Amino acid sequence: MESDNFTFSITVLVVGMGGTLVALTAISLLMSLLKLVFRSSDNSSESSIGGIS
Amino acid sequence: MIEAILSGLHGLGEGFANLEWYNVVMIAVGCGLLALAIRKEVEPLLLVPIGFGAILANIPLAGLMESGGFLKTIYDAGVATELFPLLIFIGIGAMTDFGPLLENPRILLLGAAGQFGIFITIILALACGFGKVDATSIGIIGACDGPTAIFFASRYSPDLLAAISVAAYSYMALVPVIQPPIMRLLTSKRERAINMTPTKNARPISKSVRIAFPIVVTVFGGLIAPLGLPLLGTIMLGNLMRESGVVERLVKVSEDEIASGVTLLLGLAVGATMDGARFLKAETLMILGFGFLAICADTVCGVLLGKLMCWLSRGKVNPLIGAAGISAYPMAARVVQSEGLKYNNQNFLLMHAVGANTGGQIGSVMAAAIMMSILKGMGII
Repeated sequence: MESDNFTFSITVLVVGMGGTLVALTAISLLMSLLKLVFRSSDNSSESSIGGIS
Repeated sequence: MIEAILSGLHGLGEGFANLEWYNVVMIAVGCGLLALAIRKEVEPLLLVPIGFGAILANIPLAGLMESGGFLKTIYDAGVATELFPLLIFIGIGAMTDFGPLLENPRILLLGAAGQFGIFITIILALACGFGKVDATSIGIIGACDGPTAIFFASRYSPDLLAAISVAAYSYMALVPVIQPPIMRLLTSKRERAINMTPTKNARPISKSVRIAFPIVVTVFGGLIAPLGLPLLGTIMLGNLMRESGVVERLVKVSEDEIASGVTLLLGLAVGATMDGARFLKAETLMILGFGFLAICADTVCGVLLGKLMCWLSRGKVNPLIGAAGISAYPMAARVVQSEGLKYNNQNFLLMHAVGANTGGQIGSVMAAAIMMSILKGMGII
């Protein structure tokens, strides 16, 4: 059954606005994590290259 | 014989005989769009084909938007199938450098606040009598993102497509006019003068991060809102090609030939939907009004979150960069830079604003995708 306008508006506010905020917060955390992961892997590859030379 | 000549003459005059007042008005509107594009250089790449498409569509008896007509063929091939906005998104992804955003991922939150106008406008449109799906299509104007608005409207509200796309592109072009007064109203002179220098000792973003970013965002965003994956996937595909550095020819063709060619076809097809009989109604004016409100609300929410960040960081974040959390790239970032410079000529807001602006691009796509999932989840579409 289709919801009334009031229910839909509240859903838009809570799930739409909140969902966008949560999704982008999660993506920003993932970005920080990527930086962390690849910084350590880049560092380790730099040091191994240094070891070879 | 005279009768035949008269019939022939009558045939020549049929176009004039069938010209209605609304055709004349829409031809004038088309000329107005052309004047804006050519004399004021307002979004000329889009407004020239849209304006000319509007003129073509309002010449009676030409049948360009009837089955078999060339504008109808273009419309069916690229707008009804949602193909054109997606091809443009590949080009946008190929042109966009997400580096400033990756340097400071927290700025992505400004890209979320910059979409709040969408949700506020949906509720206002609902209150004014629009249906849920149409209200959502109208709200998406607040994404400040033409291809997203066209994608959504062509899929769910094809009757409103012309008004929505004209509103979306017009207000994108008017960002330098709409935003500064709101930015000044919501911030103090001291806040506007806050100096944001580049992060000290910042490491350059590694190529691995730049390559992993579009893949991770596509998978994560696609899982959250699968219906929006075409939007997210195409922009991230373009960006992956750019950052991979191994498909330079594809990048070049995406950002030049494909983006330009598709923009021409998309503009013509959108202009062709501006048939006076359907376009000239109170609903169109309301949509233009809602679009304006949506972009104002985006700016207000972005600046307010910027102020919150300023307070939490003890005055290290200039709240003006919040206004760049919309998708109008790079125009919104330039507006922030120029406003910041007015109050502190040593200020370097551009890269921070570009970060927020690219965050706005992701935010607009995510917001539209989330709204699709909500509508689907509630059984409305």
